[in-house]
Amino acid sequence: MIICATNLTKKFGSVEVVKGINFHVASGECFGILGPNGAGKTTTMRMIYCASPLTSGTLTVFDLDVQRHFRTIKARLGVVPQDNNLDDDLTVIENLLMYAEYFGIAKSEALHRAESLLEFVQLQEKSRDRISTLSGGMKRRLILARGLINRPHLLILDEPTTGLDPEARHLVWQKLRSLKENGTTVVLTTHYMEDAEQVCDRVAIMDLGTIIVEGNPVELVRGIVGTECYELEPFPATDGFLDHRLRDAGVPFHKLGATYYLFPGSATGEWTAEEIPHRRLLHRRATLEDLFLKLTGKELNQ
Amino acid sequence: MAWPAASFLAIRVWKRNFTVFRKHWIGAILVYFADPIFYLIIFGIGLGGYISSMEGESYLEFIAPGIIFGTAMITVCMECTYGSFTRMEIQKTFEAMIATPLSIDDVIIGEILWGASRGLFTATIIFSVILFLGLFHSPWVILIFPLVVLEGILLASISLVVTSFASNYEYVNYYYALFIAPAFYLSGIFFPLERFPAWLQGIAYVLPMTPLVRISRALSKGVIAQWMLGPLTWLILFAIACTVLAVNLMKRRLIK
Repeated sequence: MIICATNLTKKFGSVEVVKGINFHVASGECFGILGPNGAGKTTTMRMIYCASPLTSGTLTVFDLDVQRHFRTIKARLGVVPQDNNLDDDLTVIENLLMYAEYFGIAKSEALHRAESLLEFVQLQEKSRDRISTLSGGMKRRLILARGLINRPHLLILDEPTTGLDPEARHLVWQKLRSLKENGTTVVLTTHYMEDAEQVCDRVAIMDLGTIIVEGNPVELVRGIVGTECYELEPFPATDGFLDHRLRDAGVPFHKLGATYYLFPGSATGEWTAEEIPHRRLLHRRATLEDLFLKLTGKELNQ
Repeated sequence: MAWPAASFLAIRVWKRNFTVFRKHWIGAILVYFADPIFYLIIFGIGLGGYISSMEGESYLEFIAPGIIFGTAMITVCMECTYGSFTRMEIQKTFEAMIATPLSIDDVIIGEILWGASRGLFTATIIFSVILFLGLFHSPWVILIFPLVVLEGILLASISLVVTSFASNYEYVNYYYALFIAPAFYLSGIFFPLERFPAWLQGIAYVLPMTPLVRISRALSKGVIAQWMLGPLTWLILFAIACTVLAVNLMKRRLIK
C-alpha cells in the first residue's frame, strides 16, 4: 500500500475537522477525495504530505509513519498545493532548479529534468520569464512541473484545476492522465466531478470530516443513483401532487429550491417524466454530484 | 519548547536566499556603502570637528568600529523582519519549502544563517572603508568578523521572534521604535555611556549592541582583555536562547 490511514483524526483546538477516517491507496492508483468546502479534504492532504501533524490515529505513506519518517517520505512525494506558492523572486526555470536543490538533485541532472518538465507542461518558451507575468493556468502547470522535479512515486494534488478556464483545465487533466499511464500513484481533491469520474480509479466522498462513501466512481453512481437523472422544475402549484405521484411510482427524488432531481433507476411503478406539468425538464446521465445529493440531501458545489 | 531539530539541509534555504540576493547585489553594495559613509561624514567629520579627542583618539576613530555593528544590525533586522515576513506570509515560500525534505526547523535555521550572512556582507564593506581611511591601528580588528557573525545570529533570531508574531508590516515599526532604535542609540556608538544616568546605563548594558561596541572599540585599540569574557558569554547564551525561541514560535505559527 502506498497510503494507509487508520482512524485518522485532526482537531484544530476543539473543532474536529477529520473524524477518524480510514482509507488506503494502492500503487499505481488514482484516488480522488471529493466533497464540499470544509469537508476536511485539504487537511487530509496536508497530513499525507507531512505538513500537518495528526491528532490521533495512524497514517503511513510508503509503509512509513508520517510523523517519524517525514524526510524520507517527502523526498519521494510530489505536491501540488491548493495555493500557488511559486517563488516570485525567481524565474520560471529557476523555480524548478531551486526546488531540485531542496531535494538535493545534482545541478546538471536538475537542469535536464527542468527542461524536459517545462516541455511536458508546455512552458518551454516561458523559461526565463518572471512568475508575475504568467497566467493562472500557466502557474498551475508550473506548480505541477515543480511537483514532478524529484520524479515522485506519489503525486498529491489539492484542487489542481480550480480557478482555471476550461482549456487550461483540460490541459492539466490531460497531463495527469499521461502521468497515471506511466504508473505514478496520484491522490487528488477536486470540485470537478466529471473530471474526477474520468480520471480517478477510486473516489472517497467526504462530508463534515467523515468519508460517506468510497469506491469506483462509475460503479458508485450506477449502484446508488442509477444511470440517469431528471432535473425537473414543476409549476409551483403542482408540488403536492408531484410528491405524491413520485412516491406512488417509487421514484427516489430530492428537492433543492424549485428543482426536483429524480433518479428513476429503482422506480417500481409505471411512470414518465413527461406526464408531469413542468416549466423545465432535463434528462441526463447521473453523476457523482447526484450521488452526493442522494446521500446527504445537499448540493456538492454551492 | 523543543531543541531545534535542524539538519545540514538548512544550507539549501540559505542558498535560495543567496541566489535571489545575487540578482541585485550591486544595488545592495551601493546602499551599504552609502549608509555608513553618511554616518562617518556627518558624525565623524561634521560633529567630530568640534571634538578634539575622544578617550584619546579622534572622533572618527572612536565611532568607526561601532558603525560596523550598528549598520550590520539594521541590515540583519530588516532582512529577518521585512524579508522573512514577505517570504513566509506573502510569497508562501516557507510553505513550498516544507513540502520537500526540508523541515520547518531547517527553514528557520537557514533564515537565521542567511540574516547573519547579510550582516557579515554589510560589515565587510564598512570594514574595508574604515581600513581604507586608515582608522584601524591593530591587527586584532580581524576579530570583528566572528563578532559580527555572533551579532548576526543573535539579531536574526530576535527579529524572527518578532516576525513570528507579526500579522502585517506594521509590526516592524513597533520593533524599530521599541528595540532597534534604542539598541542602536544606547549602544555607545557615538559617545561613552557614562554620560547617561545609571538606570539608562543599566538598560543599555542588557541590549545586545552595547557589549559588541565596547569589545570592538577595545579591539581597534589593540586591547584583548579578560573582561570581554563576561559580555561574550552573555551574547552567546542570548543568541542560543533566541534561536531556540524563534524556531519554536515559528513552528507554533506555521504548523497547524
